[in-house]
Amino acid sequence: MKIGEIIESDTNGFTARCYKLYEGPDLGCLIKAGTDNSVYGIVAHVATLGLDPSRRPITRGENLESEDEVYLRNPQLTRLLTTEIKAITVGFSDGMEFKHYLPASPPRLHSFVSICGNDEWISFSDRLYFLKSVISSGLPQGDDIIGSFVRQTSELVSDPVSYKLKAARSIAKFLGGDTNRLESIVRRIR
Amino acid sequence: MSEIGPENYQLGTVVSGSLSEGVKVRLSTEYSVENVKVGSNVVIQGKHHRFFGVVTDVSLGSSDLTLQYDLPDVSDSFMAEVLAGTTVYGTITVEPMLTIGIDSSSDGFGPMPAKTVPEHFSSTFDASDDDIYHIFGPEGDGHFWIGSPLDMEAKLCLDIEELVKRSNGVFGKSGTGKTFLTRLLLIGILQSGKASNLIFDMHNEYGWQGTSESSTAVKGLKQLFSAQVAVFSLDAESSKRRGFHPDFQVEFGYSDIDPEDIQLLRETLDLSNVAADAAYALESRFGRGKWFGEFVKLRGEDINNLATEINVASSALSALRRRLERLIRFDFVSQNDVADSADSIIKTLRNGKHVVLEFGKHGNNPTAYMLVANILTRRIYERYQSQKEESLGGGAEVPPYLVITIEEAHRFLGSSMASQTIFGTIAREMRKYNVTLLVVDQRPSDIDEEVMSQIGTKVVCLLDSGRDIDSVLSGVSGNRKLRSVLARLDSRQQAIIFGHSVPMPVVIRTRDYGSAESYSEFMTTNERTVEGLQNKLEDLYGPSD
Amino acid sequence: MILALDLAKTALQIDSMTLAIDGRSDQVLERVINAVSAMKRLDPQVYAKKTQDSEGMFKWGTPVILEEPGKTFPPPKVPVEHKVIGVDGSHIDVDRHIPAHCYLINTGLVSLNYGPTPSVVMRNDPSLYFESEETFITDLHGSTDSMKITGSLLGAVRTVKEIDILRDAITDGNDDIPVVGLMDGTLIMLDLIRAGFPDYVLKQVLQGGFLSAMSDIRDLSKDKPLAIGSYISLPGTSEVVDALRLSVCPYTVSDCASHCASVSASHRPCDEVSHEILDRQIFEHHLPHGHRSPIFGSSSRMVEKFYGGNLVGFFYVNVGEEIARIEVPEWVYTDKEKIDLIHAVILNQCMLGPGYPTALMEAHEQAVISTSDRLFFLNSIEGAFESQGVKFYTSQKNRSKRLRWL
Repeated sequence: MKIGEIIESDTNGFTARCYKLYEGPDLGCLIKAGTDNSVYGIVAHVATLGLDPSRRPITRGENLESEDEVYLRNPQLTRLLTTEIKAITVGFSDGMEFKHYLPASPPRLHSFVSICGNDEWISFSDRLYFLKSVISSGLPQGDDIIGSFVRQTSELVSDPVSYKLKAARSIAKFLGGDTNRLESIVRRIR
Repeated sequence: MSEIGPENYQLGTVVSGSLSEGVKVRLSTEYSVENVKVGSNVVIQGKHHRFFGVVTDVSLGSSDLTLQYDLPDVSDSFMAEVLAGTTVYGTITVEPMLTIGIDSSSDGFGPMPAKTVPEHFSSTFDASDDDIYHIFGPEGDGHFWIGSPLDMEAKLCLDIEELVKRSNGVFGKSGTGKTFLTRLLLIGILQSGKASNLIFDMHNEYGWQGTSESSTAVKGLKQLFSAQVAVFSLDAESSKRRGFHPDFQVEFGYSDIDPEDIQLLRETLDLSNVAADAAYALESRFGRGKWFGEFVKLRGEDINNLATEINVASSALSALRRRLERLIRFDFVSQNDVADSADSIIKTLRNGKHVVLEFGKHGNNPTAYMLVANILTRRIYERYQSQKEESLGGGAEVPPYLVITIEEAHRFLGSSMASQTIFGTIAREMRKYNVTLLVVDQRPSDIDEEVMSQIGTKVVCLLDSGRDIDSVLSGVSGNRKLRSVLARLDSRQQAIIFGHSVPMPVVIRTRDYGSAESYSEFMTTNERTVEGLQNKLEDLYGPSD
Repeated sequence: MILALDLAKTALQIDSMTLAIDGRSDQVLERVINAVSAMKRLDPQVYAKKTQDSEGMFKWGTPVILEEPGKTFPPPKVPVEHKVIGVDGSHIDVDRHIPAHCYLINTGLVSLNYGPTPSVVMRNDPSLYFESEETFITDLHGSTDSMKITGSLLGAVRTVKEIDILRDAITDGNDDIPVVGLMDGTLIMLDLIRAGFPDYVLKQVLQGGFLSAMSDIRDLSKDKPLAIGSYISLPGTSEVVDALRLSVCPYTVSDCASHCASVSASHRPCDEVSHEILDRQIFEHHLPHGHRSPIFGSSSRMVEKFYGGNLVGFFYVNVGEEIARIEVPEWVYTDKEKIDLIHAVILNQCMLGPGYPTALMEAHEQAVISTSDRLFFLNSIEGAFESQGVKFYTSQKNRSKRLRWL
């Protein structure tokens, strides 16, 4: 089920705008673009912003009781605001099997984006080499992305605890001895 | 060839190393370093060969060098589990001993000494029971079950035929189980029928009944194999007190003592060279077999006169006379003519039986021990020598192999002595006449180096003296790595065996000796009929049980 | 070499201006205060008579006073469930530098539904007009005269389009809940009159276009809580001020030419309450937050002449950030419920805005054509012509506006 469309796309990743405000995938979620020979990405950044970059949101709730009231009272907000997600590309499907490296060309603009189904997710994540690109991305939230991804994946398998351990060990190997970084990530996996 | 099945748990993978330093195996994530013991056996599946080796070192490593300064928070066991096997890991050093070609299960050649190392990333496994049987041979027909490799139940066997071809040694500091091991070896030899045993039983351990470390009684060879074992005793009273009649009471007459015996006793009797040499002069004077009897009759002035007569310093001769007094006092030394003990022993041995010579109270007397051992052995050796030469000439049968067991061997085989005593001779010339030694000792560093080099198989229990360890390992390939194994043996029921009767050095947990089960296991094959069993059980479960 | 607006020089001039304004502020304040008290004192009947009597002689306009002048009207409660429709438009005028004779109008419409299940509709509809009947207003009766639709005429045509889509949206909505339609700017199409367009233009554009749509909406509003109005921010009108002039004029008949021809501006008696002050200044001083002023009828001649049935009235309201002028047709201001509705809704819209009605702000955003849009439009036309094999020429001026040399 599609949840958004690609509005920017390049070799390393893509940006998608979600159809519904606030209804986007979580950080660390495994998403795919396109239905044939899909490109897979991990959500690395979620933002809500105005559709028009020159118009900045203002406060609207000083005299209101709740945030929900703000939205109730200002129906135009759902049309003027958008949720955008940025994903790091981690692989693709060539129609037969998953490849855990970058595709030759990035997905097209307006490709439909959807969250991977459970079976697909588990199957893609069988080997975790692709987390390396998240680790080396240099993003300040890199550890949170990985932590969230592992947590979400562990909920799809029958033994979450042993999956977390297995994933953490794979990550330990990629980090090649950087225990400080490992600790930071492990804290977020628990 | 054993298959690698689920029971063969992969320990780890080969990551580095060399033939001289040992192969380094990095342990798998799931395998705790605490589960590996130095001395245990592993199998490495290389590309073309299967390597069989022993673990000689265990170490910890980390891919993060800052870890030791900046400890991660491991109060949470999850973090510890993550780090285990990834950032921190265990490494074992394996000494490759043997290789077996992979592709041919019907190799024809069997295991060969390892001349190379396995490739990088070769998988490493615990050795399986099948591996042990393939390398050491299954139990039976010349292979004696002596114990099990560390943490395994498989029966590890010695090649008895190889064993008796050369002299052997059982070493270890006191209390480590040498006597038990010696008993086992003797039983092995006995059961194989490949040789006869002559045991100089200094402390009454081997014949009728012995004691364990915890001072419970354990059965002796006579109790287990009554028909095949004869007990000769120097001290019948002692034997009787311990509840049995010896088969023969050993006595020596004066005529049995030769000047060579005096030579041997020189240090023990505290004689100078001159004094000891004087015995030869006396022999010339009085004749072989007679000199001793005549000499001890003399007193005082007679001795001085005699000294002048045979051109020996009278002080020396007097000293000799005084020392010989000690010998006379032994109650097994008799003025009268006595039965030829040596002859009886030899006959018994020729009948395929085994002889245990008990010393009784004399066991603690080094002089008695050395005198008796030397007299008997010298005669036995001469008989064997002539018999062997006759057989070569076609005149007589080849004498059967004989294994002579001596304890506290460093007294006979110290550097200064080795060249003189009969034991030194036997040790050096062993093969020629089918007579070998089984040396039991806690101070191998005091044994002559050349003698040690003649020892074919060594069974070594825990030693803590560096010099002792050095002497035991000298000349053994890969001895540096075996040092660490040797130093970490349990103080009881563990030994390392290396030498001719094993294809590779191996650490064993000694086979059980002392329980009813263990006794029943020693029964020879043809006794394992119901009848034989019943009879045996009656013997075994007598009052002493 | 001056390449662009010299901002440094302009800044200085702005500074001088503000200083000048500042200096006069005390005088202004005095007049405002006078004006407020004059308004409070004003007797509508007296005023009405004086208006009649001074017809033709009083120099300024005279709005009809429809409610008690000194009164302020507090804000009514805004209905929980209601709909606001805002419309706005923008256009690209005929460009004489390109060979195609055409113009583009983009209308924006935003419909906000408030209540338990809020919703929103936002649209913009660009239309390109190039057919001759679309680009010219032709005299249908009599002569073969025609006027090119451009400039202020185009502005008026656009306004007609805006009210058309407002009417359509109201029609399609067919709501029972209260609906308020808002337009930006004045309901009085002054541009048409001032420019002296011929009657047939006024007839077609004002009557046939704008007022026709207005009447349609009037018809829809019968017995329904439906009102429309226009919102003017920062109003520069002084119609009420003018009324005060008449009111305080000491002469029974305000014959300005006779009495004050030789008197300089600011010294005439009526100047006390009016010279150089605007309506909004009076109401800034007088209207509490949320309150509206009384309703006045427009003094425009054009309204008198053409707007029958849809006469335009106005009032001012303090929306908080400013005084806004709201213009409403007579079928709104004669209906108390409709006035209260539009008053309450506009306040609510400005609160949500904030400071400006949300519906109009969003409609404006929908309608606006950015510079890059303009450029794209021109480039598209160029491309279309060239693909047809027509050579595309432009004058140098147009060219230079499009390519910026380094």
